[in-house]
Amino acid sequence: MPRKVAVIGVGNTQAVSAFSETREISQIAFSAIYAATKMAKVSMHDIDITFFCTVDGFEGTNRLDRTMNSFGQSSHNPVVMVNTGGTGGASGFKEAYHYVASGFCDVAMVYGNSTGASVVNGQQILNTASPPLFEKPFGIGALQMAAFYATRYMHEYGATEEDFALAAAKNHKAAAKNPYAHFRKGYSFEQILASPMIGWPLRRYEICPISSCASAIILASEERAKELSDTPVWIMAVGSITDTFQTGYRDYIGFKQLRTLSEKLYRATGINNPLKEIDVAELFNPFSPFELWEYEALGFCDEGKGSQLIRDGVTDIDGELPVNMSGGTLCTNAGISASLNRIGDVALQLMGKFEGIQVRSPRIGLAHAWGGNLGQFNSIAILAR
Amino acid sequence: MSRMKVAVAGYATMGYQGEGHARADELIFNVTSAALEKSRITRDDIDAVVIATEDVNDGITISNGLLVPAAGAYNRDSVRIETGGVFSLVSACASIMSGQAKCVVVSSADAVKYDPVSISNKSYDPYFQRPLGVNHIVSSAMLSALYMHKHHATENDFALLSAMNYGLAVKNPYAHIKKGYSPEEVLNSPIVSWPLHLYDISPISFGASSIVLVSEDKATSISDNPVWISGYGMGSEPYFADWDDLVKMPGLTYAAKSAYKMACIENPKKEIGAIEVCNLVSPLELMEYEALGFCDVGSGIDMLRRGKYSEEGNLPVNLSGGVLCTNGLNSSGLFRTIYMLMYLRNELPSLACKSNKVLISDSDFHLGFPGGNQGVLILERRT
Amino acid sequence: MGNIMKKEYSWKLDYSVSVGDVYTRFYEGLKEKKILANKCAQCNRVYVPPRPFCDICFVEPLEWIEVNPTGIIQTYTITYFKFENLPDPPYVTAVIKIDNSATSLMHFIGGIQYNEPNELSEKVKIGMRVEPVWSDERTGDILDIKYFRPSK
Repeated sequence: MPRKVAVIGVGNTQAVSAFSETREISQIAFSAIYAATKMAKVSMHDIDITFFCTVDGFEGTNRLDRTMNSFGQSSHNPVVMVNTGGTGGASGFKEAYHYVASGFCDVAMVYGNSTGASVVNGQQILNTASPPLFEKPFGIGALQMAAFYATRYMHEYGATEEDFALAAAKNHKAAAKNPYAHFRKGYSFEQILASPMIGWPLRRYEICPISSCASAIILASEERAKELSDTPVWIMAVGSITDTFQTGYRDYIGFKQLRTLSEKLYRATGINNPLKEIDVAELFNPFSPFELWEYEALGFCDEGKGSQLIRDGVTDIDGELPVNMSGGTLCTNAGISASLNRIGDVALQLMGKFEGIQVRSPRIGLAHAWGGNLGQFNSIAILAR
Repeated sequence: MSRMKVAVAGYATMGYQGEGHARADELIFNVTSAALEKSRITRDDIDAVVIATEDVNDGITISNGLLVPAAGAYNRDSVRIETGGVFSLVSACASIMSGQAKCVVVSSADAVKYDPVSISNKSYDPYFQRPLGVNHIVSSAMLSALYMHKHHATENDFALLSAMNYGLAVKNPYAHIKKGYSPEEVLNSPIVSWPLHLYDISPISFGASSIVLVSEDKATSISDNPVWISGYGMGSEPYFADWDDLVKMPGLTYAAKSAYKMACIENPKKEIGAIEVCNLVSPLELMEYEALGFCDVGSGIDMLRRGKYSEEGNLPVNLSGGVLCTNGLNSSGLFRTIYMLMYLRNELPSLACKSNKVLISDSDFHLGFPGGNQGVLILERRT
Repeated sequence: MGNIMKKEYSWKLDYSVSVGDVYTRFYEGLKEKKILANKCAQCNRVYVPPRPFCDICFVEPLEWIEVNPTGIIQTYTITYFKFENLPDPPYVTAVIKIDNSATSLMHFIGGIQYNEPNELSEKVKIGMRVEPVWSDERTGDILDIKYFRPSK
């Protein structure tokens, strides 16, 4: 019989620039994992299984899970290596949920680390994910991928560069209060609009950094969760959805599949009016415009109306549904762990333990991530107190 | 029998070869389509896809992007597990047993040519071991040398083991190496890294395999007597380790214990009818017999010399020819599982199935020692 | 069926990783021809190479010590094949247990006299005591030890 599963511990490390990182990979792992075990009130030996998420090609070592030794390998607990690109952290979380819900084990950990800490030139690595024969030769990197979507959105719905800057400003303001975030300067709307254009229409402060930080989340079965935690955060639904690989199929207008996935999970959890019923959300925005069409795909507003939510402050701290009060992926992006951070930050908000802008008594939270070649994959987790 | 919760609805593999002739997504599409057809499950029934590959073997990062759609994942849930075929099958089981899916495709392919020694070298840490040029062959050789020292095994014993596998592969229509080398031929092959001769070491093989798993209620509507996954277990070993511990394969011991418990197996020697072990290099087979509890520590060679491990002996081992004869780095786990499925269902004309329980063990030995991960799977058919 | 084409490609990426303060200190020790280790306060295990944390107790080891740089060969192999980017054969790789260390160290064995390469498997023995031979140029790297040789 499937069991209820809760998040009982979250551990983060303070983000720094990947280029100035001085900690070795397993040291960063130790910090995040140790913090998570402390919150969960478990020892490393209580963890039955660990899921490690990264993209090997972005690391200096293949199958980094083996050499890190930070996952209780001395107790011979299994370590499962999950690699689904940018949604890796979310996929690892989903796996952990399945294994505990299925009754295979009682306590599971999922971990993501600083992917970007190794690579000397970040942009070229995304090119290795392009279909080698037909798309790679055109030098597509993450920036171009994002710009395609942003340009199309402006064309379809009349969104403006100001809208993108407003979205970015909300995130930067929140990150300034988050002690774990990377960019904490709190850039204003004006500063963002004045920042240099990197790849039209994306400006410097609308683009994520390459951060170094890690995140660990500990999940437990209902019985163990009630024994160990005063603030278990129940996992109501997790899922992912897959698009085609060859991007010739894409039309670059928003994330249609995210809508399909969200509708499926809302049906499963009985959510009819997401804007009213969801109290806090973390959406995946390595580039600020993404937040806008993610609102739409997730049913927070009608198609094309994402900008209106931003302009009306609906997704800021005093609004109906605060989004990205961590500063989001825009202000801290350590690679694959960024997808795990979204879930960890929602869990912390629901626990009332978020160290930054804490949303008032949230009951239901949603975490989202996307990744892969031009957003091939989307993932959602819905959590509740 | 609460352990019978996940059943195999269908499977397909292809003849493995020394060279690739198609892209990985084409291969996956072919074997998955064949597996679905065999299972009488339609593409619409698929809830999720698990791909069992490593980026580095596929030649692109985030290779699941290319591969999951080829196994039917469009518009559905998917995941990619890099820790091998058994771990991937376990992921599918967890997904089904948590109520999240009723039908999951698990698929893998080896289509891209690369240098396996380079890959295993890059799997070592860059601080202490990679600079020494260590790789899976050098480290397996050292582990084999340690085993020889502790248990007085000889190069002759290893050659005998290799030859047994080569002989069995001759009867496997899907195996890669069908040369049937004799022990003399193995001993005469050059020493690559002492004590390992060239023919004690797996080649690289190209091919693809796919398995369709279903929940209990779906299984009973498809077949009267399906094969069930009745137990599984996984384990890991530390990377910074004491090598004296390594030779006992503690990760595999842990994984086996976990699998036996789930499958309610108290005496594996008596209850399990055939096993597939991950013999990337031959000496590992002996260590695996011991870690799996089929003989006492150090007695593996004794049993080998007395002919207990053979098709006709007490325990058929590596009827497929093992990893030694078919080494798809991504897909050998699924491949050997499929061979055992065929065995259980009496689909192999040259082999009569004598039992209703079999065991498959899978590991990432191709990345070297220490720091490995081991998976054990038990398949069972109601008599 | 006609000839299916093959396309060759490779990806060359450069990496730079931070070694962290624990390994940096070990490397600095090597520059000075010292083998430094650290010790877990809870279980007293000594680690060569030093660990940022004890894997058994999951706490950070605090105490640093310099160890006697001798140990024994736990196992070894002699590689006779040439692999791309790897040393020219024959060369001996070994797993060495520095005295009192809880974990093993990998390195080369050198300084062995032999006429034919196939004699090497007889000249190197499990249990043999070995000591480091240092490179003249040391940069803070595991190869500041050139190899280990049998000690008297």
